[in-house]
Amino acid sequence: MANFKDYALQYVLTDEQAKMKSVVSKAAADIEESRASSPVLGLWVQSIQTWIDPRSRADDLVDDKEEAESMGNILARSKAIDFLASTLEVLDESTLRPDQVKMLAGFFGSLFNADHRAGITPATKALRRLICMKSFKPSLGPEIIDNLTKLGEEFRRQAPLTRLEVYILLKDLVEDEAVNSELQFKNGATSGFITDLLQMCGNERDPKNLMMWFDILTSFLRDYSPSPEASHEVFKTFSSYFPISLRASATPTGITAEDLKITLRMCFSAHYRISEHVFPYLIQKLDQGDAITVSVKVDILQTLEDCLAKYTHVEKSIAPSAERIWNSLKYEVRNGEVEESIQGTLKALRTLAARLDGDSLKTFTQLVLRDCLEDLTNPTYTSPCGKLLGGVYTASPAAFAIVVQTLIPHVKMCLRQSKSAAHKHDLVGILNSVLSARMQHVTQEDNRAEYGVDQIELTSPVVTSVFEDVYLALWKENITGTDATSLKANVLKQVVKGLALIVEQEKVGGQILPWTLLCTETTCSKVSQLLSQIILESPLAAFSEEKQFEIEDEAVKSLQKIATAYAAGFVSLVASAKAKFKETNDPHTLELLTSRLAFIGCSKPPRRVGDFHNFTCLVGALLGEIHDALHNGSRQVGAILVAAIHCAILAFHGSLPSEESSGALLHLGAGWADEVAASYPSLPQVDLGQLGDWQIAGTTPGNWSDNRAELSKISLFVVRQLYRRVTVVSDREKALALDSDISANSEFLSYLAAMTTFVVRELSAESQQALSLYQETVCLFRGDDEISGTLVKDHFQTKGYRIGGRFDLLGLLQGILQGLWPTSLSEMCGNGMGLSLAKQLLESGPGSEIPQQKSANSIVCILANKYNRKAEDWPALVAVFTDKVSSIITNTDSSNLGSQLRLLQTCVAFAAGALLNYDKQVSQLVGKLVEIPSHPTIGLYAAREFSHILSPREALTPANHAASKLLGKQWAYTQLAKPMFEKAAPFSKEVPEGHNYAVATMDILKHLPFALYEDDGDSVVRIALPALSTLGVGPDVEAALNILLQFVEHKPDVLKQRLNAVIKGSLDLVNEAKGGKKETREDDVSGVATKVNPPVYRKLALILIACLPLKFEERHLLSHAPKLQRTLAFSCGDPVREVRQAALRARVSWSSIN
Amino acid sequence: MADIQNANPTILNASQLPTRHLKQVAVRFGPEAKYSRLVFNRNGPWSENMSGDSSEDSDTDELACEPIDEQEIYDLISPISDPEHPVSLGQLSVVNLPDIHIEPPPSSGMSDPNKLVQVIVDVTPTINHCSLATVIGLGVRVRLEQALPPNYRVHVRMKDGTHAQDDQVSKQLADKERVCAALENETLKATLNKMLETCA
Repeated sequence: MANFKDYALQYVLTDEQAKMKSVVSKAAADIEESRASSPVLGLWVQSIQTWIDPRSRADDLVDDKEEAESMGNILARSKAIDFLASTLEVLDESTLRPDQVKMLAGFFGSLFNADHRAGITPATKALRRLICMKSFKPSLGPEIIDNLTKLGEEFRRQAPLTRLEVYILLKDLVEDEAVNSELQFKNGATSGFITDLLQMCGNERDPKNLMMWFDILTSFLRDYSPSPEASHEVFKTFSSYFPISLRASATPTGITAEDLKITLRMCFSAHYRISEHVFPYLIQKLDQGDAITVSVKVDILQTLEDCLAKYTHVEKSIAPSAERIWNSLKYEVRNGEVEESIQGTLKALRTLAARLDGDSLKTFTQLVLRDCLEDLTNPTYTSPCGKLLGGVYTASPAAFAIVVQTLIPHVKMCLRQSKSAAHKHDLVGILNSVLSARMQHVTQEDNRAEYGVDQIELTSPVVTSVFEDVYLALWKENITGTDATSLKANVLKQVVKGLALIVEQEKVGGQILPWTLLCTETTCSKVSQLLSQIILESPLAAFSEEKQFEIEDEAVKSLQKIATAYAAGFVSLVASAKAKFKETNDPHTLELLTSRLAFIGCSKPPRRVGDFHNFTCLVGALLGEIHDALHNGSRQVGAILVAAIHCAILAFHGSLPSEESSGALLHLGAGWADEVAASYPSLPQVDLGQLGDWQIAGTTPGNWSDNRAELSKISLFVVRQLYRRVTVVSDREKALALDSDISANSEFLSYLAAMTTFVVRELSAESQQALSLYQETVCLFRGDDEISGTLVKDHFQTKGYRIGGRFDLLGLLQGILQGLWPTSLSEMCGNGMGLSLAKQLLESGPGSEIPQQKSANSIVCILANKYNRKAEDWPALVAVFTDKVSSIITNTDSSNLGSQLRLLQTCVAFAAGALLNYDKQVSQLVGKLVEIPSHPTIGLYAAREFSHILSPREALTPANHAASKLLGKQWAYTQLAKPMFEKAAPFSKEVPEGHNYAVATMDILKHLPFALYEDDGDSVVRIALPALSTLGVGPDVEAALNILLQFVEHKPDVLKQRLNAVIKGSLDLVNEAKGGKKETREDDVSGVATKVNPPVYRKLALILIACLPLKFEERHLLSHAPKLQRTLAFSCGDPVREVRQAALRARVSWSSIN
Repeated sequence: MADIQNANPTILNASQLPTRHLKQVAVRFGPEAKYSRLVFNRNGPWSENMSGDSSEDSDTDELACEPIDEQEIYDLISPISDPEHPVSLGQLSVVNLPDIHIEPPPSSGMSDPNKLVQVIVDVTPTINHCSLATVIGLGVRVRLEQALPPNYRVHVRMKDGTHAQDDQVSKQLADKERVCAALENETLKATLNKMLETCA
């Protein structure tokens, strides 16, 4: 037989959780073992007899002097009861029989009455467990609640945590469906138990407990059927907490004021039964006016809205209070100034109108119209009145139909009578809002079946009448005239906005294809024509420049909306714009016009899947214009038009849903270009000289699931024909060459290549491989043409690749290559093509042709980054560059240093690409590069090239699918920078080698994160500090300053012993780097200008000085203060304002050092 | 401090104060610029320098030579806090841009650091019997002397007709010895430090 007394004693005496757990587990196991036989259970209960014996409890009544001892007894008793509760917690749910559960519930329930000091928490814990037992009978629920309510006044004296336990037990009971039935059966509608609970818990103040208490009240109102009196009592209890707030507490509970507000709000909106009390109560609170704060007002409005949204039986609950709610709320908007409360009011009104229907809605809308229509004639109240009306007619189609039928004629009348532009602006704003609301009601899928949508059809005549009567009239009135005020411009902006809205309107039902628009084609065409005038003919000269821009921007946005709804409008706009292209000589005007066309036609997703009409129309028209421009020799115009196509592609790409953002996957065969040409007859083929008719609509909208893939297909088709248009096959050179009417280095090629990169990189790797785009890199989309009777692609495969002419086409080649995925490039690797290309660029590159050389370096960089490392010829490729660097090192001939340096730049570009890919195979090349700064003739220039090795490059961005490894930079640091530390320090101008290494080191480190070199702080600082005074004024010293700033900011201890040098170096620099202008210093060797910007160095030096007092103690700086303060005072008169500001900050920072 | 002398001064909104930014023409971007800026950007991928890295020249272009002008003096003194109200002298219109004069004028070009430049600031008290006018004037003078190079001479005066004793106050502020003596006074120094706390 188990010795429960021992268990109980052990439990009471120990404070270790583990031991307590073990004891109760044993006790529970013993009970389970005996299958809960009554004797065992009796022994278990009796085990705590020692502590709950009335004789021992007499100690509770002892005098003060024995209070401590008595408190010990209470704690022991509490723990003893807790032994029983904890045993129940680990006891299997099915162990106890119903009679045993009943007996235990009675025992623990009695403790609420018998032992207020020690028994409540453990008894509650035990009861919470008992109600989960399988044998628990719901009929015990009312009994437990009865026992609980016997606590009465004692309840409020309990600790908050004890009360919380009781609330949790109550909540579990009240929310239990079976207990719910028992309680209702026993108490009936009077719900007597709730009256007792209200008395017991009505004074709760603890936030956590309040959350529970409110939940209990919400459940009671929602799940029970109390009498009106009981409901009212409950309402009185929770409403006394409203509006609720939370005082800041030293011991936060984790409950916020917002949590409390939301939970209390749920009580208000729990059931419509209390609506007769809720609405008058909330309105009375709201009508206190300035006596309540904004946050309280917002809380009231949100509670009101919540009630309006959740109450069922609208006719009984909401309709009777609708008038009273309106009469109170209307002033919040009509006379309100705080945006938050205005928005809250409008939301509540919208919900109110949305809930009403039938006669109650009619009565309500009549009431709203009666109050608002009068206000429309008063300019002061027009705008708030519009908001109020908007709150109602946006609520539901039925409300819209009733309000708008009266509202529009009244607004028209007001407009006729109004003399003020501001008033007209507000009135047109109301009409615009009506049109937006109509659009929303008609197009929303949920609304199509709703009652009231058909009634909107009845308002169609009155809606369409606003075009002639309002918009057109106001357009004519405001577009011309001498008194072009800012107010008139604002009216015009509203008119422009409204014109788009009227064209966008659809017929109710929207099933009558092809014409679903509400307005006639004549109206749509007229609107389109009017708005096109603004961006094509500049009729706004009378307005200020700022207003002109505003109206034009509004017109662009309106035309964008129209282009989606009424495609013919966009076609007519493009046709008018085409005429304008020919007249315009100013490139900026052309840029603006074409980019606007791209935005208007392509920046909104098509309404139907696969509707590319606007895009193909615009691109077709632009291609035709490019053809003409190149034919006429207007290369700059052609370039802008290419850029405009790029804008259109970007805009369309940006408009497509983000779920289609994965790389476009194309399924194209060999003749894909012919397929696209057949699908889109509106697209010209400028490479073949076929212009076609750009106005023809494309394929009938199909079921393409991937718009992005279709866009990529068309874009690639455009790129292909433009590439073919500007290149020719040169039989003489056995290579490709630039067409004679295109000049090398032109913007045209630049823009075309940029567009190509974008188009190519948007394709998935699989698509790029399927299209053999690697091949197009060298064939430039002319692979199927012939050189001396052989296909170009075959010719390059068999006879080897040859870059034609004067490397003019490198930009175009880079355009494709830059957007390729590394896997797409793999076919170019291993077959000699990539190796051949790199060799040609290195050995017979473009030389002094700078743009081509830039492209050559980028191509080499991309190859190094994306080349297949497993390809057979990769080691050979690396060897080519390693050998080249070796030859530069050994070549001390000073006659051709320029070309030597250019070769080195190409090798550096190769290393940059490979290092980012963390390719250890280039370690030999990197090792050779480390030797370069010691070169006797080009050492210094070569050292400066190291600033480009880790600098950000467009070709190596993630967007262009560059292969980037996390450890790439770290490896570059250990391979490149660290070996130079020893060679660079100490250095002086007299030892050029050390000087060069210092330059190289600084130039490498400036592009690395501080975390990489902070552990080598001593070595780095040993180079950076002398650099301040030795490297001279130039970009090298800027790098040193930036590195020192990093140390001052993140690791100042490194500089503590070297403050003399820091301050001296910075001061010398401030004094040396005089001169305000940015200069360029022509390098003798490279022919490239180096930017020298002394003010930047002065500013950085002063920032460094300003940081010192913030990072170092005064004693370290004191000796430098007088001299520094003098220099800083002079620097406050520096010719450059930003330097003066830095000097002033440093002066303030050092002013405390004295 | 004694009772507030002007309990209800006119306070300008921060946006109403003259700033250098207002004088600069804002670059205009319409809705279409979202895409055209990416394409028509002359600093795009094809304008990289010889070695292929993107140019980083944008912020350095702003570092042009500009002499110290009236606006710069105004920017130095307008954030000084009023000793009575928790607002700046600029917001109270105690210091005003048209009341700042520099001789020789900045329009004549960059000044020689070895030649003297006179800065004259006329202060307008909020009421004509303001007893704190001297403290305000002193604050302006101290701020400018701390912020301007040594060849700048600062003269702070009461604007004619704005103070019942404008001559006397201006004379006090021009007297170097009295200014030095005033700065020895710990109470006054604490007041000045408080006023200058709001200067960045």
